[in-house]
Amino acid sequence: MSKNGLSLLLFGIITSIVNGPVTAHDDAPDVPSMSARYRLEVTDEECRTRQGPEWWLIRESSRVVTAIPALDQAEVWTRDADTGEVTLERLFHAQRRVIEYTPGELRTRNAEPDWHALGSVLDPDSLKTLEATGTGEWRGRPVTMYRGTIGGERIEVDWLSVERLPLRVDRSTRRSRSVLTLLALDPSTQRASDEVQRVTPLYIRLDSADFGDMESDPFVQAVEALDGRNRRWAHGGGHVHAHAAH
Amino acid sequence: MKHPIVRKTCALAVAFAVTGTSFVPAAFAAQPATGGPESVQDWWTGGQNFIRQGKQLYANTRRAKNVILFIGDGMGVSTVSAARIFDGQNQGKKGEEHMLSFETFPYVALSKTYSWDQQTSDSAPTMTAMVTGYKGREGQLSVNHTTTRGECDAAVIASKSLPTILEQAAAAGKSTGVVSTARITHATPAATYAHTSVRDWEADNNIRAFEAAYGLPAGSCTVKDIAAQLIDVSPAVRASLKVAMGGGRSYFYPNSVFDPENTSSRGVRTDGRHLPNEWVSTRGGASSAKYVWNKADFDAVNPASTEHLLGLFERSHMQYEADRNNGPTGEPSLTAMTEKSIQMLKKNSNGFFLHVEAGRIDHAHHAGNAKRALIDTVEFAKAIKKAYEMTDPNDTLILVSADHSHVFTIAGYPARGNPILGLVKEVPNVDGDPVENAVDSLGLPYTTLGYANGPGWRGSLPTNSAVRPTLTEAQTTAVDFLQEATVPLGSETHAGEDVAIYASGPKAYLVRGVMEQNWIYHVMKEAFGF
Repeated sequence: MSKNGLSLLLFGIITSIVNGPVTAHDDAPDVPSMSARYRLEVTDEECRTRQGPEWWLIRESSRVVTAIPALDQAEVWTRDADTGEVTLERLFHAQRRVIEYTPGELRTRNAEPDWHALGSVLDPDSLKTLEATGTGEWRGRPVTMYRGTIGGERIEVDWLSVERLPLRVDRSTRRSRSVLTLLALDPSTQRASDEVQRVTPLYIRLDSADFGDMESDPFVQAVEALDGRNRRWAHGGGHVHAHAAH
Repeated sequence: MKHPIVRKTCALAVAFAVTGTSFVPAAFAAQPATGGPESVQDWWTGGQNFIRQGKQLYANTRRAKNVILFIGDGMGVSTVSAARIFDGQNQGKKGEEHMLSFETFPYVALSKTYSWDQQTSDSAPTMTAMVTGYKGREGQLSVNHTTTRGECDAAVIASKSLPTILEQAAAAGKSTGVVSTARITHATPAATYAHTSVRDWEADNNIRAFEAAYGLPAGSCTVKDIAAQLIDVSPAVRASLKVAMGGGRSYFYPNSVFDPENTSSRGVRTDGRHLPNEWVSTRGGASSAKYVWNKADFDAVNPASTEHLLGLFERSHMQYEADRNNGPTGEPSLTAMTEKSIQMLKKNSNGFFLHVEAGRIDHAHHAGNAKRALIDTVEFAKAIKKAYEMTDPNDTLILVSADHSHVFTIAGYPARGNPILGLVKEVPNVDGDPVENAVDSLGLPYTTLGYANGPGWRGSLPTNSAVRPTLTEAQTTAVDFLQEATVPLGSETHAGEDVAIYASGPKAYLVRGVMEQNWIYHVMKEAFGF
């Protein structure tokens, strides 16, 4: 379990982007399967810039995988085609453990994701609150540029409109700046999936509902401490909003 | 100033209103803003009825034909009180005067839940105490407290094993059953039929992982996993165990077999055993034994023609009652499972032992989510009511208790009938004044229900000056609301105070005073006459 500050920062930024309000998006178009590699750079108020590890997104119609290969960790979100219910598996390869979150547990933790935001890094609806300032292209793919302010942050998004993924997300306040940049894009998801989802039968599978009975387990303690620092799970109402990245 | 007394009297006449024969300050003469429906006489009548019923009690010294042990996992006294109010308010009452089904049982005691090595226990040693008569160690199931942590030699475990009330009932020719909304391999139900030094060894892959983690040769641990123990029970238990229902399906399937419901998932067993198939094949085949995994198949089971029923309705724990899909592809309620179990077990004229656990009260509390915990508690009370109605209180001992409590509190001075999940609204200082939210020293409202620790903590970070949130009634009564917690923890914790025991039926009078938790077993043993 890494306690690397930048990794936590990266995690916090990504979750703060992804964990928007739950919205149905039933009318959202199907998005193409894709694997994408990103890197995050964070500049603090003393102008020190730190580069985070690569962050991967693997997107298929009923599955979204996010991974930080340098930490040997991944998250696998799966949506049931019939019920639409979403489950989460968090993979910790170094510890050979998998944590499962059932739909009911995700509901209880107020952590049901916006599926389309999950597969697009950020909520596509949030783009509507920004101003489209221009167009361009990246490796032959059309790009739309958005600019604006959300929650006191200045946001710049270069958006791959066909792939429905950001090419770049630049978020800044007076005190800090973070830039998430796309490094590579691949229509094939197989290779990346194989690399981050290499779970063997000897992995121990934990139901997150059992954490309360596992407080003395060092692994559970570490995960809960990490989640606590990142304020991973939102509260149901009356939440004092805070993200580790800010 | 010549007649000061008269002038003072006049002033009083302005300030007081006449109510009957007494003088009451006008400011206090309005109707109370809150209060119950009772007349003055009702309080007296209720008390006298209670005394009359008590005088009619007699010690039922008969042997029990049947014993049913209901455990609300984590159902501390505060959970019972809150669930009582919640259920009553859902029925249109004020709530506080309401009674859950088992609260009308004639005998009640307190149970001390510490284990041999824990002041505040987990479910493994507490259930071990209740079904074996001995207090045990943290995380261990139905083995004595001299058992080494991680002991995985089957012979050693056998030598340390403690016979359970279920095994003894089986040996006496009674039918037996185990029902839970948690995994059927989870600590509480598992303690009735399994013996192990590690409660987490629910499937063989966990034992293989243990070997790998500690550098033991693969396969060197000979103790069986809990799911396998449910199938590979002694001949007496195999014949006796008519019903096993709950969650935990993935622990019974080999990792080569896809789950029938969640088709993207597979079982976790590495030994290739398909335990549901074995359940059927080793218990007379499909003509007498059945395995079901959804509500439609469960509903189709005919208790009269089914001898052995295994129901595994989720890969892991069953759904919270609040989330349960009641359709054909969903899962049965705890009440329905209890009813079906008793229908099957009653076929044995020698009687039966049944354990029923509401396993998810505990999980909802761990999540800091009171509403789901209360909904599961109310469903638990319904299951007990059904069992009571289906059995004869003269020959069936029903015990209701909890394995441990939670740090769950009912706080403040809410007025009578205040929504139990809502914000605290106190009785106004002046009758006739509107009921308003009570506020803390910061001027912010707060909820009646809360936790001493857990994920509901909302304290400030250095970047945020807010100390507490501004809550609204709509937020706090939502099913997903997490009550505030004082100490930030990823999971809310168990609590160490006593829990209650409620008893009805033969030898129920032995449940009295403050009891050690393991004495519950001795009451059941005495009732059965073993």
